[in-house]
Amino acid sequence: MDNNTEKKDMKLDSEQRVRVLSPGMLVAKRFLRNKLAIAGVVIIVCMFLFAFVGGLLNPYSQSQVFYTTDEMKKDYAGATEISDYQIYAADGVTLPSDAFSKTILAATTQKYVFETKDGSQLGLGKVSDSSYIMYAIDGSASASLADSEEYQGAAAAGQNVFTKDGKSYLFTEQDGQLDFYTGTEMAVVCQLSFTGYTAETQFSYDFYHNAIVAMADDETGFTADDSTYTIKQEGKSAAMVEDADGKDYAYISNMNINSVVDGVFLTPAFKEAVVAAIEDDKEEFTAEDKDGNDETYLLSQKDGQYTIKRYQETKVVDSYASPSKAHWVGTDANGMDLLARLMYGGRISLLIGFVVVAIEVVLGIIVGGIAGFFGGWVDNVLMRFVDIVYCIPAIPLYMILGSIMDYYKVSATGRIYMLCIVMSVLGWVGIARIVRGQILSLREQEFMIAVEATGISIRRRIFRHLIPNVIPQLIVFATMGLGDVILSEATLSFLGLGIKYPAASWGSIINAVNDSYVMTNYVFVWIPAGILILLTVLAFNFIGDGLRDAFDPKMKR
Amino acid sequence: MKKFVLKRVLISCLLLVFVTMIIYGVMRCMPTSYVEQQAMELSKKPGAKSYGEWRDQLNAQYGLDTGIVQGYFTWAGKAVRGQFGDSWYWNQPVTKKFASVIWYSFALALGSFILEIVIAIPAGILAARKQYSTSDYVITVLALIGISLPSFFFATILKYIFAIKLGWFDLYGIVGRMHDQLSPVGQFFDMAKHMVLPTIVLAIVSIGSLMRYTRTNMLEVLNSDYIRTARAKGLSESVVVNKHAFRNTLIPIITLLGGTLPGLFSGAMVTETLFQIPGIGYTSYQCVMQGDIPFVMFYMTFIAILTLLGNLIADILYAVVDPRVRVN
Repeated sequence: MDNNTEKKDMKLDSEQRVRVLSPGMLVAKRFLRNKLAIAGVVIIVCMFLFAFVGGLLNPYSQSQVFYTTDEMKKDYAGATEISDYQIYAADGVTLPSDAFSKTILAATTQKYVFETKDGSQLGLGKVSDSSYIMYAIDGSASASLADSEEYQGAAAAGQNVFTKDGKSYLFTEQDGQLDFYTGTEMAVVCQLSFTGYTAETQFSYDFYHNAIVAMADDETGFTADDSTYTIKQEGKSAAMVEDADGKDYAYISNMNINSVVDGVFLTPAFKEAVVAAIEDDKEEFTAEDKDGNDETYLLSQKDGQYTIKRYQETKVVDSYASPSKAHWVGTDANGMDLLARLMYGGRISLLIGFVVVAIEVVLGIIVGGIAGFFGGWVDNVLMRFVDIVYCIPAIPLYMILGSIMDYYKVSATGRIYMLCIVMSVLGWVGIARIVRGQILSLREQEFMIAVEATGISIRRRIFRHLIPNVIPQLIVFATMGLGDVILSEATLSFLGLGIKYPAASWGSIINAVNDSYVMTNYVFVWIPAGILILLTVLAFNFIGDGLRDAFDPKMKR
Repeated sequence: MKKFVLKRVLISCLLLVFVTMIIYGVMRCMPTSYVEQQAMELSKKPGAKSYGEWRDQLNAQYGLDTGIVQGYFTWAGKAVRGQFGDSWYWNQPVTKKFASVIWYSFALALGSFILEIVIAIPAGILAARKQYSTSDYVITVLALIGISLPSFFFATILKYIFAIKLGWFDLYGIVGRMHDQLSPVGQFFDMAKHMVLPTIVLAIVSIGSLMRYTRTNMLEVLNSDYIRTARAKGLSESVVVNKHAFRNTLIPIITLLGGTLPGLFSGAMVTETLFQIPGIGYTSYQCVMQGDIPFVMFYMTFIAILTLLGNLIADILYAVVDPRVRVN
């Protein structure tokens, strides 16, 4: 009721009754009524928040690489049967340089006494089929030893060495000629490897000698360096040596087992397991690791070369990880967080859009304004210039410039600046044409005649009276141009010519689909970036559309 | 009219001279060592000419050993006579390679051009007739989405859905695996099938602007006085729209479309590359990536000519179609 009475008192043109809106307010009001335009504004605001604020909130940077652990079959050790003779020299003995090759020759030809390069005579005393004791020959002994019991026993046992009165004698029999030599022990020659229980274990010569002799004689124990050891034969040519307390002390086998991983010591127990597995033709076996846990190993064989593999956790780049709590959109090929890259890429895409459009507008207003205002030959020349720039094919030009930049190895930031400059230098012509067209028609209107009559300077006439009247169209064009620029930047980056690694851009993120495996299996890599581009460009178009309607209600979109 | 056309043609020729000059200048910006390095690599290819031959040919073709102005005229003099030299990447004359690939691009562009017209013009007219209706909003939003769609993203989505998930089309290429065993008719359909997805991509990304252009023009026409007169005469709505309004809407549309006709030959670099259609766009993409200067120079000149031609046609059509437009 109160309202009605108040209204009655009002004058017809009272300001409370007729709300007079300024032209700007009218535009704003019309703009706000446009649902699509509002949706566009909301999207753009969200994009800015996402790119600029989101980038700050996101714990990861755009170039942080993430790693993951992966169970991988990795080579652990290799095993080969020992086919070469190993020589374990006695303490303080230096063997002649060619002793090794001569030994092999002697063992195969069974000429157990031989001469080395430096003139010394060596002899091999046979212990078993593949084990010998090397003697340095001191001289010949008399043939009368042939009658001794020791010789008879050794000859009967198929050996070529015997001990008599604490002295070692070698004999050779060739063409019925029996020669005896006296010798001093120098080394043990065998095809066995010795593994101590710990990495530090050193074996004395005495230990080698006695262990080999004991193995050859199938004895269950031996004494070396005043300690007693027990031998447990395992299979044909492997044995575990235990010390007096019954603990594993050493492992002897004819397999050479080496770790391929640096700094890993293979224990006798492990080697024992390997040899057992090889003998049983198993492909898998378990052995205790140093913490006493059972671990499974895989055994494979190729040409007598055994490889022992095991599953091992390795640190690998976490590429194409699916979206998870840690990485909401997953990771890309380089193991970088995609969400972070989308945010930083958004910064670059939006910034490039605004920078390029700003340069375009400035260039376009200057050239278009001058051309439109002066007309005549100035207009003609400038517009032909605009035509020329318009004719330059943009994408091939970008590509050529891109490869030139590649050639000079321009940095990622340098490329961004370059891209901005090139895009704006090629893109301003549209704005110049619009400005010129508008000014040509405005120039003929009465207010310009009035302006001319008041005698204002030319610069003021152009920039104070003409340009402001062009601004509505300019704003519309620039808003839509923002979308176009973002789109072409994305296209260039997609082609690998725009923004380059390590800098991110939405286009370069989608670039991953050039690998069709990625396209098929890692949809999360390229879909979000594509949707972001689409939404941003769409939003700019919505806003531009809404602005056009708002500025020019007659056209009604 | 003749005078007008002649004047425009002469201006276009002049523009072309300047455009090619800029293109030539850009190419000359490439470091000479780059050219030499390229020539060096080219000569290593099996069956290729020797380094010296390549370099001599380049110098003769582009006047690289002379100043930039003199070099330009050397090149332009040959280009006018249709001599663009040998493509580095394809190892055959540029014009020969061009003639063998251009028709793929044309077929692709023609297909999408027709699709575009068939969809965009009726949709635009519908939107204008029912302004502010739901269908108008839907068409407007769809048109804007089409304009905003990055072609590479849309192409990837189509490939993902139709080539990978549904398996209806091949991912790449213009011919299928069994192409050689097919009959000529089968071969034609095989190629047509490979063109389907790229055609859709090209049509969808360009449909939006034509649709909006149609709509804007139709609205303008529908709001004009003679339409009001036609309605006042008591003509049926269909006659008003289809006869009076539609024909007048066609004027600007035909002008626009006429201007895009030369563009049918320009090739779609991104789409062709994504689908590996061996048209002019994909070919020149490969050439740019390989630093094939002769082909790229030719392609850029070709595109510049097409653009100028498009403008020329649009201008002339504008005068021809609408008698109200004075020639000057």
